[in-house]
Amino acid sequence: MKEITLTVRSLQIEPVDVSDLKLDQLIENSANEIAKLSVRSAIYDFELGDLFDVDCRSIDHETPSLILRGDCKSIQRLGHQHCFGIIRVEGDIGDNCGTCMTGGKIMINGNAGDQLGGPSGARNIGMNGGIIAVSGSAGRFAGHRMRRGEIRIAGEAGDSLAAWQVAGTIFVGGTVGNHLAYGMRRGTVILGTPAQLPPSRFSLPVTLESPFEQILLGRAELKHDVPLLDRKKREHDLGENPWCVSRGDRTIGGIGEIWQPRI
Amino acid sequence: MIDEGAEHDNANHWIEHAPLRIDGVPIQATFAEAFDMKMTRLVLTAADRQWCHHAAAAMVGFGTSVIACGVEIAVERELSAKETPDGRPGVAILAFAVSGKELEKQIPRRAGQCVLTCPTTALYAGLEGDRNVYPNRVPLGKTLRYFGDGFQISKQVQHERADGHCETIRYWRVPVMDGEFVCQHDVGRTEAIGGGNFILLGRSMQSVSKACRAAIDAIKPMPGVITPFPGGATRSGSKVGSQYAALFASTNEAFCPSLRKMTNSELPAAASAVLEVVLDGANFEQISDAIRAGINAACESVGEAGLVGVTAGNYGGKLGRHHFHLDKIMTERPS
Repeated sequence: MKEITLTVRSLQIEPVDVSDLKLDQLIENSANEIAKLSVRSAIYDFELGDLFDVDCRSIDHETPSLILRGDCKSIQRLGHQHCFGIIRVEGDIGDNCGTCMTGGKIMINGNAGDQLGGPSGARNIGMNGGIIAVSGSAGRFAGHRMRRGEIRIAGEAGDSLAAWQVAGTIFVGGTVGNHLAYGMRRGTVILGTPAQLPPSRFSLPVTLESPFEQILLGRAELKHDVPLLDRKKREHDLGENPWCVSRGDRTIGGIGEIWQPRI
Repeated sequence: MIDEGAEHDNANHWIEHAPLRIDGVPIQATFAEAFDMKMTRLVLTAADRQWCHHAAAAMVGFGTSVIACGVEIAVERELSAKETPDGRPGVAILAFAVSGKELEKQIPRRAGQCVLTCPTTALYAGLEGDRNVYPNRVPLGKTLRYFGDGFQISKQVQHERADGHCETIRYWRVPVMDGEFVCQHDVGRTEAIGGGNFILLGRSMQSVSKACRAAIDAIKPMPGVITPFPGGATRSGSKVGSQYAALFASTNEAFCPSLRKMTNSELPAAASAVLEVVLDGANFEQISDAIRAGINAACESVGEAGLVGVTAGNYGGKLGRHHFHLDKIMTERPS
């Protein structure tokens, strides 16, 4: 299968929308053809080759991958509607990464901007499958209107994490901002660092007693992506059943759940 | 009345002239006739081994024969905590039915009444593979979730296998009084074989029981095979049909010691008690291996002093397309 590497040429200040770059379509093209693809900013149209050095090579792996190297903070809407293969960013990524994605995996070895895995345009459904893993922190509205899949944030998450979440699972190792899970209907948010939940919106925490904890948190790849959620470490620190659960958002009749370490 | 002189001629003939003997026990050159069945495999776990055994016993109870139980079901083997999805002790259960529809009816019913009800238990698919691998599915949580009355939670979890392949599995979490009942959405079903068998002709009840237990002990650790009757064996080997129109199976009088003077008995003169081991398995090779292991163990345990011979049940080859020829199986090397 093909591995496409885009290396940032120079620091781009102007936000660039790369939502048209679809990995399943890119793998049909040569490096030259990819370099000639058009991407837009608010003011200019660019060719991808103006912003990145493009390299393509065959790899001995079943799934294709797209690798972005360098500071991509101005790159927006990467992985929009991503459905297949791996997108890996070696650096920070801008806003709206993984919007409306339905499958595959996006790995960010850095920080992510706002609206990670959120909806785009007038759509009312955000991420609908696949996995986003961020080794650093994420901005505001991560998992906004998320419906399916997993978002794994090793560091911190900004305000309005999991706002209007419909389903799916969000893991956060560090702290979270204000308005956590505002308007959450269903789905799961798992926090490595305890957060204060408003009792008007979420039920008081109760101890989680479920074998599902091991199924969800016992996966080796999750331990790698969010080390703070390591189950064994939690059990060592807090004993058996180290998690407690709150359900909400009760103001809209939601029955989503927030897991956090038992205090 | 049958002529007493001719009564045992056939039976005694193969006993005396059987070319194949194991520990002196003659093996009849006949075959066991088996049928196509549908099979699924389940993994049942619990917080401790005791609850796990209680749930498994209930789940596989009344699951000896498809004649009246709907499914033939038994524990395949115990699983260590490392072998189960939730890291708790468990068992693997194999279930066989004559049709996929029957399996799809029986399994959720048993899971709902026997596993969901048992403290701390959880139920998972034992056949690894999604719809691409096993397009036909037996519902588990798909049906049981409704017990949650709207409080149930569905979670799709992506699992990465050792071979790098990723599979998304859907679970249901149903709130119950000890926490949560966790259950996979469904499990695949596949083609299998039921009705493999061998018949132990004993010189006494005591000796045939001992031989039978040795056979079952030898079969027990073998993967992909179950012996669904109580203790792994049955005394009520059956023939097809009956003089009563309502029954489609009835006692196999040819092997009943008490009828040897009245019927065309297939019992040698020295046989006074007969037990049959019935096996269901995932495929022909696994059943063959189990038959071989079982017969070897039975013969070794009591020898010719305890067993008059070993034979197998068939219907002349007209009913089932899988024929396990004892002489071939016993002379082949294990697969």
